[in-house]
Amino acid sequence: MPFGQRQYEALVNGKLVNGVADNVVQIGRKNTAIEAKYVDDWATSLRNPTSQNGTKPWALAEQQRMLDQAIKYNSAFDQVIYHTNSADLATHYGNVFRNAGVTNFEFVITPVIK
Amino acid sequence: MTTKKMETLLGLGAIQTERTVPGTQPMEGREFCYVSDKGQEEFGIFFKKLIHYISPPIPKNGGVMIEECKITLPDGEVFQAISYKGDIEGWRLQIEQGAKSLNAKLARIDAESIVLDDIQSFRLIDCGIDFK
Repeated sequence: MPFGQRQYEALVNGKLVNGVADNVVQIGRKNTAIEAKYVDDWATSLRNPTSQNGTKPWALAEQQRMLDQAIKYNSAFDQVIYHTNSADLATHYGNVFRNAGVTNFEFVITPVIK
Repeated sequence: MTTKKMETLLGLGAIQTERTVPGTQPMEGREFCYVSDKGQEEFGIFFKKLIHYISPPIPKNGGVMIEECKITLPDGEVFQAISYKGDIEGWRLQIEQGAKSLNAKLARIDAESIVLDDIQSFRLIDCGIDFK
């Protein structure tokens, strides 16, 4: 499949912000960014605001990074697929993204078999 | 996983298996254009300069990206594909005005040809096409 990098500029709150998406492919005639978001254990993940360290500044920064990226991708790409091993991450960030007005995403969940 | 299995799993439509020249197939809500690349600097740097040249930005929403497809005309002139979505009209103006200020040429795809300034056109079959 012809995956490739794409440099982009997106308008967020009236300002141009740039980025590079590492894996972009055309699906259903839409420029689609694919992102992997794996967590070892959702209960202790920094991406989980209810984890023990979930409200620490570095955890909040990581949670904000997830949202900022989704907002930028929403502006620049036609759709985004988040590939994750965690149904909890998909549920949590699905709600966060929707509440922020991000609509063009899908989560694909593939549990890790240990 | 095969492409077919992945298409079924995602349910989002056909996954492109071979790249096509951007602009030869319509994409809903997205417009394509080509920007001359004189090779004086990395295209990514020039792209950023072009997009930021008009400030504040004309478009109200959306984004623009490099399509990583380069067309070399029979006379050796090079054009790079970009595409934009959202406020299409605004992005078109942003790019046209930026290109004019930076002395860059713009081109578009019309059927099987690349058209420069609505005057000169070259058949794609006579051009070099490189995907990154």
